[in-house]
Amino acid sequence: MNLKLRALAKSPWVYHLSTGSCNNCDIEVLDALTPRFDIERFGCVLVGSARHADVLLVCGSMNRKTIPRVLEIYEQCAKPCLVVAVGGCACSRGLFKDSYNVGDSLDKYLPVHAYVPGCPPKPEAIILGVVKAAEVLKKLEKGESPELPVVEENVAQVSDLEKM
Amino acid sequence: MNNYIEIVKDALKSVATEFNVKSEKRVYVVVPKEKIIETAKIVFKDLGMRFAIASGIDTPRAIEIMYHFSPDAYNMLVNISVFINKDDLTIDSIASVITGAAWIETEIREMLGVTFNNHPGPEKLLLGDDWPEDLHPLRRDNKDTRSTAAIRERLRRDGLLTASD
Repeated sequence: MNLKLRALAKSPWVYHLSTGSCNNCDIEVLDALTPRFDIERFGCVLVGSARHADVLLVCGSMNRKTIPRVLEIYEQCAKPCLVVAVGGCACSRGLFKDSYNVGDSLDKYLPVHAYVPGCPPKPEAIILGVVKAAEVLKKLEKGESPELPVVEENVAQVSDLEKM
Repeated sequence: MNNYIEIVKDALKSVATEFNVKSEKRVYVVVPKEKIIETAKIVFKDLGMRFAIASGIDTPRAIEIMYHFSPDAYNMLVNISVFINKDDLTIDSIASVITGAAWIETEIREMLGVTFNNHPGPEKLLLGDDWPEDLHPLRRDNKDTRSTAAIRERLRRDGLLTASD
């Protein structure tokens, strides 16, 4: 288990999931992956299927239409799988909070391990978000309980991580 | 450019009830809804215009659907609008003539409640799986869809509101 977690933290494979975004955050994730800002130097690779993913980069506010589909994709990810909420919409629905087609924010459905605010966040911030999420894994491997990023209502608890 | 507008006016004279030339780049035509397939054939097949998009709006007297066609070589837009009365909200689908029109007609059906005859395409594109069938968010005459807060109130009454705040 220790060896697996250590290998995981050294090379987290990334899956990009857009839950109905305006595509700005998607473009910045693309910038983070390409050679200028280069998240591949940390060992991250973009994978084509959620079943191969270690880190889910979630963009967009959750539409009513995408809620069951996102839950299905999260079930397909092999645990432990880290969730990084990229952009203001994924953190807390942003300015679409009162819309009729938007449900609850992402952290009411999935445990989120890093929040990257911004509209859109800079690629450097997205890289920092993935690195912080990978540090959560390192702390798990050492047996410490990791300090999750503190938000208004902290829904993801340490006990959720242990269930992973 | 004016020469081409004359060509368009001549081609549409059998179907158009109104033909307004707003400027040398914008032409607005009104056709009755029974003639929409014939109009689509004239404009798409004979004149060779590209179908750009269709837009719908809820007005007090009827629902107006405007089909936007673009003859790219002449740098203009030809906008063909039909008025559909609310007591008979059906119109023929032009997807038999223009395959690419199927998706925008699905969106118009979801958001405004217009029924398209012989519509091939997808059933739902924008709204969720458990959305009530009679709730069309872009209608303005319905008390339930008058504002975003009214739609949320209707969802709360139906027990479908997923947001906890």
